[in-house]
Amino acid sequence: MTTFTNRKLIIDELRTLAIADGSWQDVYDYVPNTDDLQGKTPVLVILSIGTRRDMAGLNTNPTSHLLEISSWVLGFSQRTADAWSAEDAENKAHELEMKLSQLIRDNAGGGTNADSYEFDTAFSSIDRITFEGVPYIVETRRIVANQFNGA
Amino acid sequence: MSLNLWINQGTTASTTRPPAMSSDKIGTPTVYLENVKIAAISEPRERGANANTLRQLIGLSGSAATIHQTFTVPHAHTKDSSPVTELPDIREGDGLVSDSVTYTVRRVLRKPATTTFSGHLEITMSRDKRI
Repeated sequence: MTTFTNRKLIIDELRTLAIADGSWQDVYDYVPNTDDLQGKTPVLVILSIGTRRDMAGLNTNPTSHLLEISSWVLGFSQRTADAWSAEDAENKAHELEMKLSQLIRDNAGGGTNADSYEFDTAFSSIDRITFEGVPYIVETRRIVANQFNGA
Repeated sequence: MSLNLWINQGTTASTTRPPAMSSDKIGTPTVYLENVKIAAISEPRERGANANTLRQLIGLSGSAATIHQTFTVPHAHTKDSSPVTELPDIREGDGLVSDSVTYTVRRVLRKPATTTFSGHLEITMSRDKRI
């Protein structure tokens, strides 16, 4: 039987890299809810948004996984202890865009499960949202994880 | 039934609070208050259009989260591991844990004492929807 790789392994691989980087308080491989966030900031969310599997011969199935990686930064805090302003949040979002890009670039050669990582050619997108009453800046970048023979 | 008696016949809760920001990060909440006496957790009084207004006020308009309400009065409990006797220090953003269920505190109204009731907190909380 053909042995394709479960893309979860690739997401786990990226999650491990992001945790080791230490720029985010937490890294999720699903959309967090209020119970998960509990005021934490910044957090990273890694999601799959689709997979393409080609047939390039009898035994070769080049595969690309399109991943959506989002940095969530608390928009501002009203707690005196935090002194976290909207400007601080914007600056942090800029910094984390760079950190995430560096992380991907430094691991462009792939890992145990992906043969390469590359940026999607589209711009990242930034949304300033209120998630169940809490303001966040959410910047999303698409990453392509490639497997040259699909296995 | 007086508010004090209602709360004394209620239940005991603890609260959690996110730590202060450090190196641009806010981490996992830690236990802040313990042995807090609260009235039995119930649905909020608001109904119909008022319920929708309440949802908007606490930032849950369109959310599937459920909304709950409780009350508390000044009493002896533990704050940051030290015994205190006061109106519990509960704020928006805290977690309130009762019967192993964690609620997110969304609104805290500090009600002054009246001839009928002592000063108390009216606490509105949410819980992520579970099916």
